[in-house]
Amino acid sequence: MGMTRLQRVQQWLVFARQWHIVDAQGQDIDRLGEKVARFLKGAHKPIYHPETDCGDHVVVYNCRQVAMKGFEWKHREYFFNREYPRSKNLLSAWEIHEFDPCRLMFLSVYQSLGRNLVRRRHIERLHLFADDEIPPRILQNVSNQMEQVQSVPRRSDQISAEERSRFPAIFDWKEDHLVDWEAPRVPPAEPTEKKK
Amino acid sequence: MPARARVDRIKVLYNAAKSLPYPWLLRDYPKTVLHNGVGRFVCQLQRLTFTFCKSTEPSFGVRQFIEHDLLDFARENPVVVVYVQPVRHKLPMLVGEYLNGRTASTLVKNMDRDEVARHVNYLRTRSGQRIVQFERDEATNNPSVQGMWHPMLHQDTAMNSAALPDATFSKHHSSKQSATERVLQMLEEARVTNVQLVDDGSPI
Repeated sequence: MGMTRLQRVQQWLVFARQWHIVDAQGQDIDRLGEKVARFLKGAHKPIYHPETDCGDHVVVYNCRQVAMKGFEWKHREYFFNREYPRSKNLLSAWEIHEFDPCRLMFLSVYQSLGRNLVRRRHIERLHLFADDEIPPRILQNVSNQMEQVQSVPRRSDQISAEERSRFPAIFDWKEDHLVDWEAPRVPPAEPTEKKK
Repeated sequence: MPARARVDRIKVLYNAAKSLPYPWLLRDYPKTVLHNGVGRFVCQLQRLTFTFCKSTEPSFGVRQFIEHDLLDFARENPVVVVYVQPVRHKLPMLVGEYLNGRTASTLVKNMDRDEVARHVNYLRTRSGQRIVQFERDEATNNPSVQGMWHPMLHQDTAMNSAALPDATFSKHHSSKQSATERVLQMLEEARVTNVQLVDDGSPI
């Protein structure tokens, strides 16, 4: 039952730490957080055991472009409490995202890791970047690109006129139909002070 | 909580040792002889020494065995050299020496003739190997047919030469078809079969 040299090196490789990268562009923040948490724990490996230190590094870029369902940006609220007087605060998701574009992704992954003692060790291996500028010292470790959790939808102004002409006309537009990407709406003016 | 959890390893080992059923036995896996069924039987017992006392009570059964059965035993097993060694006022012992150089001994104190015969037969049929407790009831030289898992097992080899991040690898794959893809597929089928698509009001 001896082990060959190749098998021994293979076994070192089994427990080596891998680096994965994933694009958060247009991805649902909850589903992406669950997937990233699974890779941080090492739960995607067949050798996984909660007491085994087999978690991987994950680099998430384009965190600013992450997506939420419906009106969650407005209605989802995060509660912060530092346990000092008057330090309790409820912040909506869009406020946090404006202040720090990586914070919501961090919170989503941290929540998906579950309430246990090792999640502080696991979250240290998460690397978040707001845009697609990643320093080369991070990028040189990456060996695998993770598949996104959903397909990225295209905005209507990203579809070219040639591609639009090739698509069959399923119905006729009304005569007075206003195509918004041809005549975009002017944003409403800033409210002026009322004169007394 | 400290940065790294402190673990008491001695307590773990101590508790594991307490749960062993026979801690004085060696533990090993079963081994097969690869020439199974080929070859001939070789009696592994080479010498058998009877140590007994001629006068005391505990050696009575051994004396009976020597008087009635030993000649038959020696005749049936010509490869075994039998020594009979009277020692005054000592307990009776059976010591067998085997082909692999090991010895096995039995204290046959206060046993009757049949019990001594059983122990003699046990020493005769032993292989001389140490008695071990099996860790498992089975052992194999080839633990896994499919091979050991490693992180590169099912990874796309196109990533080896590509500069990551690359949008082609991050594309989501799904079995579900969107409505746009369904319409484009219908258009392609109509073009292949040369059918005119007409809106007759029926659902797609």
